Amino acid sequence: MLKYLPLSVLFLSLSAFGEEGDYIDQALCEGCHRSTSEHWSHTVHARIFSAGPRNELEARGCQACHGPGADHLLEPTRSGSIIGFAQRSQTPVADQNQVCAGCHAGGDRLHWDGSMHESSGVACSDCHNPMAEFSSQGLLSRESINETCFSCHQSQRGEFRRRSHMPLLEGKLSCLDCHNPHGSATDPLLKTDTLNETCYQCHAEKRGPFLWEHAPVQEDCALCHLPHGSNHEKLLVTARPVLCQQCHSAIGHVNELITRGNLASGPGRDPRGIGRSCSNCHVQVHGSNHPSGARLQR
Amino acid sequence: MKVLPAIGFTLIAFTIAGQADDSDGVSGNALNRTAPGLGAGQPAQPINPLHPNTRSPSGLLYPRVTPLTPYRFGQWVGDLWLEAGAIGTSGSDGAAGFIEYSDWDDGLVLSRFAGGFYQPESNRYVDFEGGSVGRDDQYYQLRSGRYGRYGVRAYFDAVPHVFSTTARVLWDGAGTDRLTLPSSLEPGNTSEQALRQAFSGIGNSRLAVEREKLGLGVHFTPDPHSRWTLRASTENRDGARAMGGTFDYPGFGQFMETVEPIDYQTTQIALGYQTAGAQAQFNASYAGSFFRNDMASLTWDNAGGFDFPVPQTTGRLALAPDNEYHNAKLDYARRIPWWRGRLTATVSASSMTQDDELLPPTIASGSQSGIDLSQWNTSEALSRQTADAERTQLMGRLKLSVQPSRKLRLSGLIRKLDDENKTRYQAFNPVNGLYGYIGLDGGLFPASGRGGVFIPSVPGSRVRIASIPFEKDLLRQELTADYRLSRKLRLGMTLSRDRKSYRHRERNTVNDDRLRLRLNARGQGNLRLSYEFLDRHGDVYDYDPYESFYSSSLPGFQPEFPGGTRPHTLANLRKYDLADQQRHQFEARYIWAPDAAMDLSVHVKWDAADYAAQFGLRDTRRTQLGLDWNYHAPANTRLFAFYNYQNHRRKVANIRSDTGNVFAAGPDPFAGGDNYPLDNAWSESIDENNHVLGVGLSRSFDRAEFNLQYSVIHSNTAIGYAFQSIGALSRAPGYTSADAGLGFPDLGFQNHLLEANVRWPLRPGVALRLLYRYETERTRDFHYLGLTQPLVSNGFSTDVYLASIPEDFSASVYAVMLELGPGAWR
Repeated sequence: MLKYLPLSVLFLSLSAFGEEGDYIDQALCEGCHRSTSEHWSHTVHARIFSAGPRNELEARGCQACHGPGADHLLEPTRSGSIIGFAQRSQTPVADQNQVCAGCHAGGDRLHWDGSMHESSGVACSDCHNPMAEFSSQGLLSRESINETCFSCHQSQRGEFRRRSHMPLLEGKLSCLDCHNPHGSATDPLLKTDTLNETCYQCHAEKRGPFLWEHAPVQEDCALCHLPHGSNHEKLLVTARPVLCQQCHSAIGHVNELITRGNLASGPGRDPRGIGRSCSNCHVQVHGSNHPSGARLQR
Repeated sequence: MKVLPAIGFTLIAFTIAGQADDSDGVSGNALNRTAPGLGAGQPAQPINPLHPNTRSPSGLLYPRVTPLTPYRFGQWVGDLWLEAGAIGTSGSDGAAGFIEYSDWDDGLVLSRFAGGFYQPESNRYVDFEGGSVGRDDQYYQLRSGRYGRYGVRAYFDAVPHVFSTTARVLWDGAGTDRLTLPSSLEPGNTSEQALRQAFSGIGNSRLAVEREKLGLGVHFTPDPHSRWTLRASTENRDGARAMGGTFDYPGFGQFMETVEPIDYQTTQIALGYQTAGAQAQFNASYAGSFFRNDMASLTWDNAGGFDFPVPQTTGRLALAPDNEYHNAKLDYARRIPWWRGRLTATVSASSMTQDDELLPPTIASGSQSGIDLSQWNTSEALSRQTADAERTQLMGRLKLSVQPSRKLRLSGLIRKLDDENKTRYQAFNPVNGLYGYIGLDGGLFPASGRGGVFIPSVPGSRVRIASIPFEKDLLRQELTADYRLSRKLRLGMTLSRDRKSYRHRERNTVNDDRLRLRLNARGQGNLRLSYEFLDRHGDVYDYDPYESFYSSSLPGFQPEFPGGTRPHTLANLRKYDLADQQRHQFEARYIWAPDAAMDLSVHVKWDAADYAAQFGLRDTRRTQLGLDWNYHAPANTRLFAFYNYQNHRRKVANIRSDTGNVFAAGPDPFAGGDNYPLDNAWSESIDENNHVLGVGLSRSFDRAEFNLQYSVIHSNTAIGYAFQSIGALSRAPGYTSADAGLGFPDLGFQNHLLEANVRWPLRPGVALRLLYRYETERTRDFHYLGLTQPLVSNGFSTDVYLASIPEDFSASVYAVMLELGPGAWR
């Protein structure tokens, strides 16, 4: 261990110790953590702390986050001698997060306390690593937003590989387009007040309001769609026509059991068993603005 | 003492502090999905050499980091990075699935470029990046500003969405709002033979939408505690996609699959202010979204003519109307002086409006079953000229948390959402004083009592006469207790009730009562367990709450039968968003380190919902298993693997009404009655399995870098059904139980994706990148089984399809790129 702690640095540190309470000169941090500080020097934190600190704390560089370094300098191998953010740290997760919140409170993080991630014991440094630039934005602990989320949410990674999916794995969307992992006013950490408003951000044509509305559309897009991916067309929860027949049984053609014999390959070919199924005729299932669109056919 | 001279430069990092709210916009594309990181060239290093395998608090290994080599240009440090070369493809590279969201066209490509400059003295920066220049999936971004003070961001992103490359489009004018038949066909008077002849000269068409988004964002930080943001974007979507269209009931008339034109423009604006201090934080924001569709309607020539009754020559659909959305929101959080408390409050107001000019009730003319359509095909036949549709929402949320002790945290939450639907439309024709509408442009026997027009003299003439202003209010009450049993063990419990109040739905009130239990444990591994129980219940379920929106509520209405009119639906069916439900969810995540250089995580989830429904959706079951393994092997080698299994089952039941398409046996709505005999009952069970496996390897040699990724998904959906008798089936004469079988052919989907990259430095700052990508996909979907031709005859009518069936494909991408990176310019 001493190979990382040159004697000269130790002498220097002892002379510097005590000048400002328990804080030490940042050069002493660098003495042992040279390559780490080199990686960190390229980050936005380093740039602000070094070239334009906005307060006394930021000007302390490493110790702005890790706290006063004097104890650590004297007992560098003692766990708990400094605020740490990695697994081996003795600093409780809540206290780690509090350090980050010292500068990053409010804004998108205003609902962090009590959010799904916070109450599950997730630490800021589970998703972020401010010690180097692993990602192009956000000081993430992985190379991208999506990879960061997938590190815990493995099932979503699988769902985006399904037959119908949004272009997230193709690099055109990120989890943050819909979610705010730092907490929100909704359980699934949506960026908007309701699920539908989140969907309408991209699918504004579905927003309406329409003359003739379809009750479940207004209720919740997820009643019929799986936003993370589906094995059915259009992100549908299940195949048509059974998707529609879960709710509809009006007298007429609606409640007939469509079978393999009604497919294009069968003897009783029927549009309900072919292609878009019920949506072949009920083309405006999200709502119709046609005065004669009461049955969502116009 | 400022020891770190912030002269660093990175081409992969242009982060602006706190920029999570600027996350929308550019993120890359498929070509650069697994490309080696920009600025690489030296072996990756542990972030902390003292602890080479540093882990996150939850136990996941942090990746290694590539050293950066800043370069000084006068007062600025920075560098440029550029990659260009050629792409080639082979195999079925035109398949829609292969190019769904990507542009793999053969040819030269400027695949990626980036540049970044930083001025330490002023803390100013400017950076830019982009990729696939000139292609359908191109992207660009420019950012500039001063760290900690202000920043400007501009971006452009293009996303192709290819639906089909094999669509057989009968009409001319695809992509416009008017589809006309070829001159050889007479609208509304074709024949099957004439259609076949017309199709013989029609080849494949591409149906796709191109999405282009241009955005600008500005943020300003006047002091360390406050920040202003302004974001604006405009997105255009242009193209065409498949759509339906019909003039009659299935089996009676001719169905035809049409082409919907897409010409959308959406403009979004967001303005925000936030301030944060040690005691209190406050956010204020406004978001506006303005959607415009240049295509108000789609008119298409009827390709039928041999169906029943008399076919129309043209039909017209209303397309998505222009609309506007506004949202204003205030968030406030404050520490309170007792028990380390915290109060959080949110107020949010939204409005969605739409006031497009309405189309006339029909485009058809002449007389259909006694109705003079000339009295309906004019805008004078409307009760009003514009939609005047509006929906508003008001949301308030209040949360109070206190910590009576360091180990215990208690919180209470109230959330109220008020939804108001102000849309009121009445289907009334002032020209002739009739209520109703013209269904399917006259195809539904307008005077029959079921075709849209209310004819008081016809018994049972029940048609919709008004829009239904669905509304839902929500009140959540929630209590949560978190208890820290030890430094490494934390328990949590939440009790909540969501009280949903509906208007014009089958229930007025639905309560979701929930109990959630959580356990988080840290030790050798990290364990997160949760269990949730949901009990959904409510007031009486009224299977028919819609009568007041039908002509049966008008004076002069005559019941169809002495005891009433046919039921709207099966009384025993429960719509699953409102049905009583009991649901159990169990979830576990465990992360541990089998080795100092490995992490392994396991995720298990089980979700079972039982609906108190004799008919409708009866139950669902979901099971998930996820495994994820990472290994930082010696010699700069990284390996990873993941496996994911998901199973989804659901059961559905229904009854076929006994008298077929048009007629009813009486007013009885119940199962076992005249209309819904139990002999016609049927059920379906869906069993869906998904397996996803992925492996990857990356290695840095002394000179070269190599990475390889492979993943596969294998999905299968089995849909089986059972029926009491052949009376349950949709059937033409002669149709038998044997024709129906016991289930649909399985739906299946398999996709294999292999991607390999090699980067070989030629000299400092110059490298060669070789890319190989192979993708193969197979889709089985019974909806398209046998749909090999655009015409499908059933002996009664001949339906017209685009025949754009999902294509199987196997295709490869080869690319040779020259990369000029840090060091090339020195």
